[in-house]
Amino acid sequence: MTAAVPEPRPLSRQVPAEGIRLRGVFHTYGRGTPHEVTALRGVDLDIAPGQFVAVVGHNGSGKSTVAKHLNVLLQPTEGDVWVDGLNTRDPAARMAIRRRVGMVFQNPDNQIVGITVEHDVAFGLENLGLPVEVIEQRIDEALRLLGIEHLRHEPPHRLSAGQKQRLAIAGVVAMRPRYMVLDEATALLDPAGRAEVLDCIVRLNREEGLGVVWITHFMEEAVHADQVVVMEGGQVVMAGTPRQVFQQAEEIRRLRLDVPLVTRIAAGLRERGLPVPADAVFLEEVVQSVCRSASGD
Amino acid sequence: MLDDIILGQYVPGDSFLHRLDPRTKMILSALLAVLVFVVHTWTGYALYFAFTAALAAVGRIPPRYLARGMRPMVFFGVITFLFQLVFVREGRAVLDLWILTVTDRGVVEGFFMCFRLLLVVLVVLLFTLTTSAVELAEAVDRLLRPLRRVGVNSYDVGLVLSGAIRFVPTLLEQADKVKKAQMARGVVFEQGNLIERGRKVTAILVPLLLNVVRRADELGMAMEARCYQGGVGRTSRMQLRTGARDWVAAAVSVAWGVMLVWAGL
Repeated sequence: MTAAVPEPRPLSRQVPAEGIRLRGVFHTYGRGTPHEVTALRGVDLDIAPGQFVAVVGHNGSGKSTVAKHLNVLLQPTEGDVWVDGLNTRDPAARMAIRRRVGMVFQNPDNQIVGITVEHDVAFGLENLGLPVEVIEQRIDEALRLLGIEHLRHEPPHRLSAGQKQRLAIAGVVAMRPRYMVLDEATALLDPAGRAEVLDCIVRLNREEGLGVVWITHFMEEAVHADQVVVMEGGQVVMAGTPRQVFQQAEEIRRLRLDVPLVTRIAAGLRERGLPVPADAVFLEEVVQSVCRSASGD
Repeated sequence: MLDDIILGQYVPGDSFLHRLDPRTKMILSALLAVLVFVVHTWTGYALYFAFTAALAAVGRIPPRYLARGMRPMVFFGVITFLFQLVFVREGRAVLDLWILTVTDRGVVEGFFMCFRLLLVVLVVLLFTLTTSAVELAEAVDRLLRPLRRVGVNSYDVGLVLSGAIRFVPTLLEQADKVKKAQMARGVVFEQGNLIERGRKVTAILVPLLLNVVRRADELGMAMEARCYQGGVGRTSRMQLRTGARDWVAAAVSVAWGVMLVWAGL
């Protein structure tokens, strides 16, 4: 994959039949009021089906605003968003887009509607108007995929935060979207809950081919992605594979973001003369190269 | 105190009452609640109470649990009783205290009003304890469906009901958090006179209200993201079925009600 160089605007007329494409997206909150805030300033982004894209940036960088554009919770003030060839500006396409793009938010308590786990998973399916037998089947499947079958009849307030967030994800997965947007879905969880949720999503991406847009300010979580997109001031400032992005440690620090710990360790080791790859993002590869050089000496 | 509020706390089970169609239960409970205001003799109230006690037994609701649920109502019962004592002027005076005159009719009316209140609550409790929130929402949706023609979205009404029940524990937890946060900042809730205490309660209510509004906003967005369109083109997973059981329940309740009224109790 190449580091994304934004294509010039005129090319954007070509709309891919598959994938999500944002071209020149601007978004201004409260336009025409004294509280006007421009959150997005010309965002270009491409997400292929089945791809795992991590969007990182600190608070106020516009990453949540981007997320809300992907399933028509927000409309661009300027520019266009297409999902599998459907423009989000088209009111007739709205439901079709929402069926394709599932959305999970930060606070699981504020997205669970159902009185019990299974009723919550059913909510979206009922909205789709699916036959009852299909609904039951999909509930079973989603609960199994997220490993919460044993909680089926529990009321949501009896669940741990990690379990609640997995329930929120199950409610979306059951609707079988092609893409899933997770807007800081782990921000309120403890480390165990965070790992729990991230593991589920990585597995859904690898095994079920679910396209994932993972929005986070934890850089460590971005190492699993196929593509990392760094946002700042409502713009995409860096994009590429985790290796390409994290190699530019100086640039990332300038953006007041952290380079993952492993990458920092690798850089430190290199400075001390060890042959560690500069683009290391996983602990194993650092350990292996250190061991190899040790046994080689 | 909050632990005593068992309204809306479904007790899972598969008794005769649990298995009734929630619509049947809802309609019959409403009829029973009306009936309590028709009854006007001691025998009538005794019979009425016996009937609700029998219902509790049929629904396998532990009497002690019911009693606990009734506890917060005793206060209101006493107030109602006192009101009748003071305001009923008919009958023979049994007590004369300065400007207060308590009559024998007043005492009787006091007891009756108190019974009415407690019995209505008992009926509502029996309904909610044997009906899950999902069934409740579904029953409301189905029963209100004819009102769709005049623009009432019956599905939304049901959803608001079940949503309210879903969020009770979440909001209690939130209230507790806010209270502790305010205590940490030096508010002592157990001190001061009534007015001062009332003022301190606003220190909980204002942040709580703001939180509820924010929650509602996010919840609405999450629902929309899950293709919610206000019940249009929606299937319902819950299939309500009216069977022989429901006809039996209706026949027994109605026969019993007619008997009470006919006997002039």
